[in-house]
Amino acid sequence: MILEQLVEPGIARFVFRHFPVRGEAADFAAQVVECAAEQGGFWPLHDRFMAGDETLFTEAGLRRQITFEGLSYPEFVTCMNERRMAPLVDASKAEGEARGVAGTPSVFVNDRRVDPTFEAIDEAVKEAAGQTAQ
Amino acid sequence: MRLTLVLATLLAAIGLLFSACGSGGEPADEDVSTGTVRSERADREASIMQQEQGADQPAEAGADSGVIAFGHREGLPFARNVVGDPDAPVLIVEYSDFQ
Repeated sequence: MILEQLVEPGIARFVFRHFPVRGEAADFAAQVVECAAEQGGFWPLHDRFMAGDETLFTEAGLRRQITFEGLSYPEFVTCMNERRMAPLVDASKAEGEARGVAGTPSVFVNDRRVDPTFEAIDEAVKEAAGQTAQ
Repeated sequence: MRLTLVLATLLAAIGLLFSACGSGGEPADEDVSTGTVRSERADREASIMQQEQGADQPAEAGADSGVIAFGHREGLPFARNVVGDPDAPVLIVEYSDFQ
């Protein structure tokens, strides 16, 4: 809904930031997505995790998905081994905490915190867009 | 001799893969970064954060930016974790995690 009604028409840009609060698996998933992002694969991996694809927590599943997206699996593995993206994930979480985020999902529209419902986001975006146009 | 070499290579490859994806998503080997590498990381993080800033700051070209080629976001510009028109007047930021 956010994508179709607010992003595609060019009213808003959407930023996803990691805030892993569900333990090591969530932290691992965040690093997987960021290591894929190094090769331009952020959104496909993001979508697979959001869809609840648990195969991504297995070596075979990860290899299949990374390869399917046309990314280099050896490069991806190197990134994971070096924990190259861990500081970025940590920084994202710290930034969220600094903004008062304590749980997920938490949504901000032009720096104003709103309820994470489409109705609230839609209203806030249209209000902000109206203010910008004036 | 050759068989030994092949076995050693196989074991090394398996070890590498397990350390990447091992037990329940455990982090891999301890990081041994130098100060220089940490500085590069800080620069990269700053660059990524910068990509998320105001609409007047275009994302850098590179593997982590472009136009999404297929799927339900097809045709939309992206820059790493940002999707949508760089000139869009409103910025939605979601903090979330993966279950």
